[in-house]
Amino acid sequence: MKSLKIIGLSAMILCLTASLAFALGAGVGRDGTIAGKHGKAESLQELIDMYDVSSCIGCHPDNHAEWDASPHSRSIYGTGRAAATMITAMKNGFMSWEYSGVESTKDIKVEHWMGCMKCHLPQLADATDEVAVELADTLLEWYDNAIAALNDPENEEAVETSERLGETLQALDINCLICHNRNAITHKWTDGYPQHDTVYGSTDAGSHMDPDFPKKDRSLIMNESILCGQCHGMGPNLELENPTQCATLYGSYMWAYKANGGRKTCQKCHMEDSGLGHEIVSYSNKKMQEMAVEFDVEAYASQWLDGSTLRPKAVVNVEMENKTGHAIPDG
Amino acid sequence: MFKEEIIYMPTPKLMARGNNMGRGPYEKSSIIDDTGLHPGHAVHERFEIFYPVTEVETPEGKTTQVAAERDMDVTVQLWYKPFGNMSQAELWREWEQTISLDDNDKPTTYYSGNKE
Repeated sequence: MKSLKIIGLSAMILCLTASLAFALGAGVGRDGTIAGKHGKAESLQELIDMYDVSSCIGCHPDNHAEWDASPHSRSIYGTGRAAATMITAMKNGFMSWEYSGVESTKDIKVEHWMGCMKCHLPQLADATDEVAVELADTLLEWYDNAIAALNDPENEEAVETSERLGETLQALDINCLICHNRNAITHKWTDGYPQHDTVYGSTDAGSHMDPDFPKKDRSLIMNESILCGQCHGMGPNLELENPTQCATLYGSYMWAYKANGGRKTCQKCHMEDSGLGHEIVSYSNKKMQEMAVEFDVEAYASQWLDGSTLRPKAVVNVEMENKTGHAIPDG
Repeated sequence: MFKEEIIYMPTPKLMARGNNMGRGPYEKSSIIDDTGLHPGHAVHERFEIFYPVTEVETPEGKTTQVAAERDMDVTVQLWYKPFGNMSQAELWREWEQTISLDDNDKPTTYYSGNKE
C-alpha cells in the first residue's frame, strides 16, 4: 500500500512537471523567471502583484518619478484614449473577424490580445486566458461608466466605477520589472533567462538591497537599441495569427539610420542627451521636439513677368531634416 | 488667402493587400506609400504665393493688374498630429514673417505690382 502511494505521488509529480514544461516552453532556466516561479496569473490583480515594483521606489525615487511621468507608466490607459483604442481594436478587430473564434468577450484568449499587448502589456503572456477575458470586460465596463460619468457627473456609481477600473487599468504598465527583468534579455538561449530574484541593469553582477530581488546582474542589451526594439518594432508582427502593425521605429532605425552611418542608440537620445532619464517621452516633449528636426525657412518677394503683366508673389522655401534615428512619424 | 498642408507619414496598407489604407493597428500591415520624414534625409518644400491683385485702367485706356496689398504675412507651421487631427496635436515649429514688395523697384513699362 505504501509503495502504491509513492507510485501515485510520483506519477502526480511527473504529470505536474510535464504540464509546467508545456506551459513554459523550451529553454533551461525558464522555470526561474517570475512567471516560471509564480505560475500564470489568474486575475488582473494577480498579474499586477506579480510585477509589483513598489519596493523599487524607496531606493530609486528619482527614476520612479521620471517613469511615473512617462507613457510607459500608463501603457494601456494612456490618457484614457489609449484604453478606448484598445476597445476599438477589440471590437473592430478580433471580435469582428470571421475566423478569430471570438463572438463575445468570454471567448477572448491571451493570444487575441497580443496584437496590442505584445507591446502595451507584454506580461499578459504570463497570465491565463481568464485574465484576457477579465481585461476585456474591465475595459468595456470602465468605458461605459466613464461615458456615463462624463454625461452626468452627479452619477456617483458611474464616477466611482470608472475611477476604480481606471486605476486598475493604470496599474497595468511597462514598469521597472519589464525592462529590468522580464524583457532585459532577448537572447535567452545564449544569455540565460531573466531570473525572478534578479534585477538587470548596465552594471556587473552583485547583491541588490531588496529582499524580493536580492541579486543584480548585467543585461548585455541594457544600453542597446534592441531593448527598446522589442516593442518599438519593425512593422507587421508576422508571428501573430492575424498580424498587426503599430510600431515600426526599430526597423527604420536599422535600415534607414544605421544603414546611413548613424551611431546613436535609443537610450542615448531619449534618456541621456534629452536629460529625460526614465521619462523617455518623445513628440510631446519640447526638448525632444527641438532635437528631432532641423527647420529653416527663407522667404522673399518676386515679381513674375507673365506676358506683359508683372505678377507679384512671395516665394517661401522650407528646408527640414529629420535629426533622429528613425522615421517621423511612426506607423 | 492661401493655405496648403503637406502630410508627412507612411500610408499603411489595409491587411497587406490592395490599395486601401488602414488606420487602426489591428488592420494595418505593410505600406502603400511613405511620405514620412526619414532620418538624415533633407526635405525641401517651395511655396509660391501670389499677392492679391486688382485691375486698374492704364492711361491708354487698357486694364491691367496691380498688387492690391504690398505686404503679406506668411506663417509656416510644423505640427505633429498623433491622431491625424488637432486632438493632442503638438506645434513643433512656427515661422512668421511679413514679405513686402520692394519699394525700390524701378518703374517698368509694364503695369505691374510695383507701387504706383
